[in-house]
Amino acid sequence: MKRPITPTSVERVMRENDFIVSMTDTKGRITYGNRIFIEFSGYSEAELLGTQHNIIRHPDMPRAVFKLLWDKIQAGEECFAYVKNMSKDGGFYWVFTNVTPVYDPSGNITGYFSVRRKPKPSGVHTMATVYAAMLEEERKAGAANAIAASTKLLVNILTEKGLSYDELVLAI
Amino acid sequence: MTNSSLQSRIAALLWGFSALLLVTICTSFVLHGFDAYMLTFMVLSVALSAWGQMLVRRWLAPLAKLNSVIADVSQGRFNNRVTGISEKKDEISLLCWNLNDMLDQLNTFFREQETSFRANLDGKFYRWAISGGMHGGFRKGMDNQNVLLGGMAGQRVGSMRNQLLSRIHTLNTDNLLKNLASNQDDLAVITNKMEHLSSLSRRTREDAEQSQDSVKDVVQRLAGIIERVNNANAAITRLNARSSEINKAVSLINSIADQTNLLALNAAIEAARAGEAGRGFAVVADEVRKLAENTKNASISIGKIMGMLQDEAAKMLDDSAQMHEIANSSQSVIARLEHKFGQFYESAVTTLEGTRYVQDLSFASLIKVDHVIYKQRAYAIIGDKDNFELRNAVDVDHNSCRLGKWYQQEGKEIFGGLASFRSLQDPHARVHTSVHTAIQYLNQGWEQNTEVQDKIGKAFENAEEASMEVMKTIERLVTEKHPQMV
Repeated sequence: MKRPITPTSVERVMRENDFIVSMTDTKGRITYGNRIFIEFSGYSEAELLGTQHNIIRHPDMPRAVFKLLWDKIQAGEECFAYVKNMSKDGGFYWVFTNVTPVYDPSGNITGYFSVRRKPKPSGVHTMATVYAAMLEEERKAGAANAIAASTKLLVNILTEKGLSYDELVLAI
Repeated sequence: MTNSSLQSRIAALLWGFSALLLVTICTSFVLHGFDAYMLTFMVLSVALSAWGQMLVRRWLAPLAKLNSVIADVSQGRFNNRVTGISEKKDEISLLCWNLNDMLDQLNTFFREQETSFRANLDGKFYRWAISGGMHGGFRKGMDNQNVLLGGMAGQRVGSMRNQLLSRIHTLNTDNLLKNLASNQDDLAVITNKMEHLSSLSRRTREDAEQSQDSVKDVVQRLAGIIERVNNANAAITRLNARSSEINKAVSLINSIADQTNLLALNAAIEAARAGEAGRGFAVVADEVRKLAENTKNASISIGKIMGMLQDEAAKMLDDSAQMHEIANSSQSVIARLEHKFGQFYESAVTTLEGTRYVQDLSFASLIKVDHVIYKQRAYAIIGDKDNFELRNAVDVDHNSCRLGKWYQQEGKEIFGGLASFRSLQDPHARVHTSVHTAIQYLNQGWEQNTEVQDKIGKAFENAEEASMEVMKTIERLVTEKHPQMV
């Protein structure tokens, strides 16, 4: 369910000693959010539970980033990313997110655990530029080829720097 | 202690109060008669009890969830949380949130610990444990974890480094020895050939010295011939002079003969005129005697001249004999000289062939040394990654190195016709591309990744193998080009 929220330029900044914690099931539906999540997203716990995690997705984020994230965590790897999220009121907040899979005792993935920390300003600055370029690629390529086009751009940037995605986001 | 829950105990209390009230009101009915007000109180108290039950059930509902979450934690499971917490900030909802916060800290702590540890084992040393958002002891624990990870990374990098270096060292030592042994063989052959060439040159010099003596001899002998020829010329000139004297003498004799003839005529006339001849005849007789004397003188002088002529002739004969002898001996000297020159020519040809062979062999040896140095530089880059001098030297491709240039020009002219020549290009290209591949992998974190390390090792092994093939092919080229030298 997508409610039309108009993004505003109101920014919320995360505090050094806090982190947002949330958990989802394998389909991306929220099963838990801590108080900081509730505070920054602007939704109540009741509103969040059972909802798709992309309720807080900001239109400035390229789709390829989430594709990458899902590919990695579904393969059982952890994933880091700089993400711009959108609050219920249209404001935004940048986070440095780390997602890891949650396993049941027999080793099956039963959901995902996400910790979002205060991002480094240099990282936000760099990734905002990269995301803007990727978004532009997505817009040019049209909906069907959007992800492929912006992924290619990201891969080119990584190849040029000789870094993996994780290495890049941890380094900036 | 009974098994009854907190909720049922509060319910019992509530129902107890309601029952007490009921008993009070009923007692009041019995003692004072029925009262509608009292009945209303009774109904209200029952309703309040029922409502209280409901509230208590709702307020205490999280307790069951709290209980199950905490039970999970005691089993080492941190993924459960209390959800659906009342928005009222009462003690129970605060307890729930605080429990959730505690679990978030614990869960994140263990996840960070596990993930960063695993990444470290996988060689991703850039993946440190992140302490952001963690509190107190958790944060301290993360910091300690990072000290541990740093130590592990250092040790791992060191051991990985040593592993590749030792592998490369072994590869290098094996091949370097082979390469050097091959160069040693070349140098031995070159030394041997040079010795042969130098003895050939020594003999040629001795021969040349001897031949110089022979030439001096010939020149001296030719000088003798010229002297004799000059003598003969002088003799002939003198002979010419003598011939004119003979002519004069002969004409003298002729005139004497004429006069004798005339005198004889006169004597005949006088003899005829006088019988008293005595006087005049005596004069005539005297004149005839003088004539006879003159004739005798002339004859003597001719005889002398003839003797001289005989001497000259004898001398000329002698000269001629000597000239003949000189010419004969010169001929044999010149024949010897000719033979020597033949030997000189052969020596020169052999020397030239030997020189060419040695030249090719030297070039082959140079190429081998080039390859050894090229590989040594590549190996050196492993330990000295940012040395651009080394990098530039190793960056050249198989068309721009010494062998590559030689292959396209002189090599093609001299060896182009040989079968081995074409089979040089492929292994030579492989030496360069394999080294380039290895160098590329050096940028991909070999210190953390055994897979990359393996690729580097493989690439260097390929380079060594191809390099060995290049060396063998070059040796074969030289052998094919100089079959008589082997």
